[in-house]
Amino acid sequence: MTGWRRWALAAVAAAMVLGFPSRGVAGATATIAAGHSPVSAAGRIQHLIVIVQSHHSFDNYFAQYGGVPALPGGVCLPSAPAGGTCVKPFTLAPSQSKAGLNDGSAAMLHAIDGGRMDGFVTAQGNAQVGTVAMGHYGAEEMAYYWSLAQQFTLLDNFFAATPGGSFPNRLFSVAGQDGGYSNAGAASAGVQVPTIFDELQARGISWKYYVQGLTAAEITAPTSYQKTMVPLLAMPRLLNDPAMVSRITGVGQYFSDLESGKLPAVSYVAATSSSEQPPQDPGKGEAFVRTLINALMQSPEWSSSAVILTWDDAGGWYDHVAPPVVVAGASATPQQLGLRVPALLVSPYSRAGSVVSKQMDTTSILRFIEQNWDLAPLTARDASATSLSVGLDLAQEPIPPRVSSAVPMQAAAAHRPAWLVYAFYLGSIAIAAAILSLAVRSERRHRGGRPVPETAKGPPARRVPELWR
Amino acid sequence: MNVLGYITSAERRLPEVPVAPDLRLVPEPEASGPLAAIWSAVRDSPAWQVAGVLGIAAFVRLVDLGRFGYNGDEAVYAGQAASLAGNPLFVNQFPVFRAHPLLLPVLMSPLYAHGTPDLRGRVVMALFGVALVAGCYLAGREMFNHRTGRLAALLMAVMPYDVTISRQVLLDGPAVAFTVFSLWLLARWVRRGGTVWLASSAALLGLAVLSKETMVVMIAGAAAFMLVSRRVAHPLRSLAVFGATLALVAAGGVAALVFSSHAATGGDYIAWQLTRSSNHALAFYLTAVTPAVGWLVAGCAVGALLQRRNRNWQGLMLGTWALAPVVFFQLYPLKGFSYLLPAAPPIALLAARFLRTFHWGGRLSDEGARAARAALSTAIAVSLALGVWATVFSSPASAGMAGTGGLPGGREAGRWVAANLVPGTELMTLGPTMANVIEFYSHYPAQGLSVSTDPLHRNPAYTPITNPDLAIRDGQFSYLVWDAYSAARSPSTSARMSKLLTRYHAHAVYTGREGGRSVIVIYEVHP
Repeated sequence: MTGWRRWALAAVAAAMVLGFPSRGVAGATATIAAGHSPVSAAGRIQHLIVIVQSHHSFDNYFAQYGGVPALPGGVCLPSAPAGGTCVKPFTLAPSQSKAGLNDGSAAMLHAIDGGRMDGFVTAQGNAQVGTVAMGHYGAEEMAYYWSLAQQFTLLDNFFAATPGGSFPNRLFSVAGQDGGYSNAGAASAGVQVPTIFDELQARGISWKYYVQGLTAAEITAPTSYQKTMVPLLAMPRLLNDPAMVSRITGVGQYFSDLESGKLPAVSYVAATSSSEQPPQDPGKGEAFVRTLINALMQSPEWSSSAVILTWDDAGGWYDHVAPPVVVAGASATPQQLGLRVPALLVSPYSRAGSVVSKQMDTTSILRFIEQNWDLAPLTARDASATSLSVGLDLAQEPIPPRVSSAVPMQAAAAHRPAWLVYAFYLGSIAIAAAILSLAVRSERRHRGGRPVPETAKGPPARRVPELWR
Repeated sequence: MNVLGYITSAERRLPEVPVAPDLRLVPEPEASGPLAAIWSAVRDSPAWQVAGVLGIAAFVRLVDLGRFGYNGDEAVYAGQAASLAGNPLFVNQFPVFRAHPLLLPVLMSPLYAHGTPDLRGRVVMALFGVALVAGCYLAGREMFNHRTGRLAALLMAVMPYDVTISRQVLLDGPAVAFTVFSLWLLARWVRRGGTVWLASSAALLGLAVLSKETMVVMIAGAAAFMLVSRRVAHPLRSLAVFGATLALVAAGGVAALVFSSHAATGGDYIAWQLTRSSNHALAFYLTAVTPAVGWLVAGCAVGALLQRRNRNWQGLMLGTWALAPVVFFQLYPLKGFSYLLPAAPPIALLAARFLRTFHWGGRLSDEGARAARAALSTAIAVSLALGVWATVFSSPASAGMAGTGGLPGGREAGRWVAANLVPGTELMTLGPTMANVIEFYSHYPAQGLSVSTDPLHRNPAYTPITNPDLAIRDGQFSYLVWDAYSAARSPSTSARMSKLLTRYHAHAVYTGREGGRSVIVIYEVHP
């Protein structure tokens, strides 16, 4: 990191710690209390872009962010079931951030421990890895996401729909249910649940699912990881429907659609190599999200769009808020929500610099789509969820786009000397070709191109031993 | 006379001489029927005969080319090409500047601009191999006659040594193809005069050096010839022209390093290459390379050098051209299977010369000697072809030498990693070879356990795992890759990994098999 950038980040961090009255930091953050009545989003929001990243809890990314309640004092979780030493939350060092934590349903229920939230270290089955689970990122790593929180709306009471891992939560984000599938469901023969896309398709409302790195061949033969990230790829019913499958495409199409003014009403974006799922570097995911949001801000669609950026599940990382149990419908079975995950609502109508604490979960995305485009709920869960519109103020002056400066990509740096290499090597080839061409032309000029027979050899020009004539 | 004191063709004023008999098209009056007419035309047409040899060369180099995935070296060179082309899948994993010059990555880069292709690079290498055979023919025709050139080309076409190397994305194939054309042009210069032919020969050798820097050793072969042969009137002046032209062409590689601010990188690699410890026994080339060249071919080449009739400039040129790499790499502590490839074409030419001129001590009639030579030539070519057949269609031993073929199971393991592990997952492999293969096919980072922590004893491109236990406990590595190839090369590293697997409760999540046995196993560890 360059010196000036380090100083700038340090200044931002210092401002947050000291509570300077800049928008979005602790002293100035407006908190919207639960129960605030939403303004209808209908008409103003013509495009919703849903970006779902992977495997980070709210505290893992925002524990040190000044605009949210601090971690409770004295937290120290046991490192062994029988007690022993305890582990306090701590700021992760770069070398500690790569552990792939266990985020399976059993481990998460163990971590939640009936609401006591004290099983995060022991849930990992190993004190060394479990200790990592108590880590959180600081201002330097989270610079972009924290800057989004300062400029737009941070939802600090947004829960994963279920404590079951990526696949069931991503199913919830498109279907309002997990269909009984566990995290291994992506590998099953075929997932059969109705989705929001069926309704959008039936109503003639445009939609697309943009997938990072997806090729045409992979749509019909996706990897299990791609199926986990994009539940539609695990649904043969959709894949066999040309009208539906044509809407699943590579993320490059997102930029083309923005450029040509063809951004659909509802867009889902799934990252694969930049999903932030450990051991991936969160910075890579931030760069990916930044390109998506910057492109939107630079397009005419910005004025009528909203982006919900959230994470599929907490990935085994510590979060101090006990997830509630929801009862969807009068006679329904209570359902345990997953841990809190970060969620940011980026729109010209975001409540700028505000933290919205109304309880929401993954199905709140569906609720917003159903409200905005007048669709029927898919399940009781999304029917009873709080809509994202709580985080919008459609009466306000639209927030102008603020394109974030791009981080110099490593790829661009690596590619920099390529033209020099081509120039010099092709120059060498050209010199060799010129000399050869000169030789051929010289011979043609002298001989008309006929080969010279052996008898044309000239006499020896100097005397050497007879051994080599 | 030209500047070198050599009599130019314009000065010779020689009478027109008949074209050599073997260059003429002789109609076959007895031919009857279309097949007989075709055979007759082929038998008497040098062009068709050479085309046939090149067809054989192309077939054995292209057939079943994608059976196995890349080995470690192929992955590196193809990865460099992809990185140079700006392929986003590779730019962060394969640095453009590594140990060797970049002519081959430059030429291949358009093929690797998108996706993860592997076959197309090998096709390019196979075509370089066919070009090498063509160059062998041209050199033989220039030095001797069409028939010798044709036989030499046939020997090269089916020589297991060259076929094996030409079927891989290695620098040696293109580099040696350039040296053969350089040899041809050097012979042309000796026969016809004209400094521009000497410069052309040097320019081609310059391209060879830009393909692989070790080809500078061939300068010694050219210099030795010029200094000893009485056909060269002004050896020092000739050498100066040769050296200056070569330097002019090869300067592009140095300039690319310097102007891209990678001069230090180049220096690091040169220092590392020069200080590497010996990796094979003294008899390595005799026991590993000679069988691949063919014992009979090598014997015939030695026989040609001993023949009195070959104590001429042709024998000297081929002898110095073959001996320069053989002597240098025999003395050089580091040994590699492909290093002696520059010696193969002159050996084939000498062998062909021997097979075309050996007269059996006068014990046979002319007709009988001719028939015996044809029978011996056929027997040698068939024996080489059988060797090629075994090379192409046999299952290469997973414990084979570097550069002897693809790596069974590597491609499939890499693709499994890409399909099943979270992107960005780091893998620990036994050695850098498998790490390169995994990185190429999966685009996931991988590091070799065997990479030395001592900077003096490791390739500057590799990062060592300083404390494997700590790295596993910290979660840096959750997957360990064992492979039979690396285990055979370094049993001690395999034993180290076995301890890690036991200590961290590993269970296999992927097993790649070849010939009924496990060649690659990927383990998940639980610290």
